[in-house]
Amino acid sequence: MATHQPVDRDAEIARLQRELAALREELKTANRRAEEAQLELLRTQAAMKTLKAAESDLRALMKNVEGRAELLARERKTAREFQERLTSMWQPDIPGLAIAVESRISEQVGADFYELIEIADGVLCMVIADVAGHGLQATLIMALAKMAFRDAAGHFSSPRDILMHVNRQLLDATLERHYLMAFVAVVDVNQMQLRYVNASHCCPLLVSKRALEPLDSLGLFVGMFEDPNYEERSTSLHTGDRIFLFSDGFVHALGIDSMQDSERIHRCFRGAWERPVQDVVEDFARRIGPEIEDDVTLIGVQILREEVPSRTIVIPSIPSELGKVERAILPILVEKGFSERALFALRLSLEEAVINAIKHGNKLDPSKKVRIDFRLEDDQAKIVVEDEGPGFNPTEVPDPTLPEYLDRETGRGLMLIENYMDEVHFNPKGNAVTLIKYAPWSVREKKS
Amino acid sequence: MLEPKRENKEGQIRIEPVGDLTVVSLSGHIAEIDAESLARVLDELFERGSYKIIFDLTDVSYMTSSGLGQIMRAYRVARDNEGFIRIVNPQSLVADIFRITKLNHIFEIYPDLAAAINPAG
Repeated sequence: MATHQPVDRDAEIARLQRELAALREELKTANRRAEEAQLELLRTQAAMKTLKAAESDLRALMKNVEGRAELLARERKTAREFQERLTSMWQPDIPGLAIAVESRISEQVGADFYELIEIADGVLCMVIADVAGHGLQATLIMALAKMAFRDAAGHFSSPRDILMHVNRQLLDATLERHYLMAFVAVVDVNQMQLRYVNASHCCPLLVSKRALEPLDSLGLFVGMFEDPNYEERSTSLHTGDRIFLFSDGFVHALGIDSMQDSERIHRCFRGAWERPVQDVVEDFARRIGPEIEDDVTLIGVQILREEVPSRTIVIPSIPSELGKVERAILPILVEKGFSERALFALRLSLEEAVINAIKHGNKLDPSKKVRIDFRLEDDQAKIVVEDEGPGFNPTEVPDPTLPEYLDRETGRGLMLIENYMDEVHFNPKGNAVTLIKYAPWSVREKKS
Repeated sequence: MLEPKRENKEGQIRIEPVGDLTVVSLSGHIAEIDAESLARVLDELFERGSYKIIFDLTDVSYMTSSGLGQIMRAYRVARDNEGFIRIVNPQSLVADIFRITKLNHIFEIYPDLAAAINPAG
């Protein structure tokens, strides 16, 4: 330092002041910035909190709605399961018939249903139906239809009449027009007969010893047309026959896409002849497995009742034809345990009746026929012999045991018949005689 | 095809003269057809003048009214020609038929052939 200049204190102070001011300014800014930053921070924190809350609120709401929807579906499913359980509880127990059912309700709330109703002793009405659509409407139609079917089955025994009644009820219902497809059958175990109408439902199958027969007929939807033109068909049933009704859900569950693929469907039922219907249905249930997409219904009915042996023989009016008649009838009675006396009585009466028909009824005209109908009913053998003649009055036949008739060569046939048979009846015309012999196991009093 | 327990024997007719009698032995089931055969047999016997006839029914297990009718015809023809007919040993079921038709009152029925041939001895 050479020069000792006088320090410009004022300048220095001014400079410091200026520096100080600048610093203050910077501080202010810094502060401001900090504040701003803090605010910013605070603001951001606040924003984050609201989103989370909203999200959780939303989630809670969704869960609520889902829960309600699920509850609703479960409720409907439960309602249907309950209904289905009721139907199965009411499953009739008919001697001579075995019934097996597999019915599963899917998550998709459809409206398939079935009914099994005992109309009379040994007479079963079967219904399987598919209501178009899903949802609440379909379920309501289902409930209405079920009631209508039950009502109809209480009044009618013809499947056609039952369907016409249900059709009418649905048409008259104030609900929005809905329709269903249905198959209705009436199985009569006493008559061994099946009557049915298929109103556009998946076609059921009759499995018999000889064949697999589809039970189809003409018929439009139920609940849509004033005159749906239901065609009723009938077929006779034999011991061991099995009838299978099923929904299209069942067919799809087997992996078959088209209901028209009858060949594949029939193949699934091959072998059903040999097995009890309960086993067949259980096998299918296992095959389908626990997961189903659409309602699955499978009903199997098996005819257990032994057929009533019966034969019809028609012969020309030639005496030598008698052997044919006897060979058709007598072995059955032997097998059933008729005694030697009873067989003697039947053979004699049958022969007398047929010879009478040939000689007196048809006057030995070979072009005229004699018809013999034989049935082994519950506790009696019944034979009806009918000729083409004008008939006669049995009361006008003289008693061959009276002295004046005793040495006649003819005229004893009727007397023998009446003596050997438990019951003898003539038709009003007098050209048909009914011979009845009580079976060995009959509790009724026999003649011999 | 099940056959009845008893052998299904076709009716058979055998003729055997014994002195001035004729023994007609029937066996099996005498049904309508057999009655026709019997009719022809009797026609022949009557033509020959044989009116003393013994019907041996020991082996007959079954008979209808046609068979009875032929026996009755033989009875009438024999009676009208100073002959007779005798019945031998019908089985119980066949005997019943005679009883029911009251023909047992008309026909003489013997327990065996010997008795029918020689009733006195």
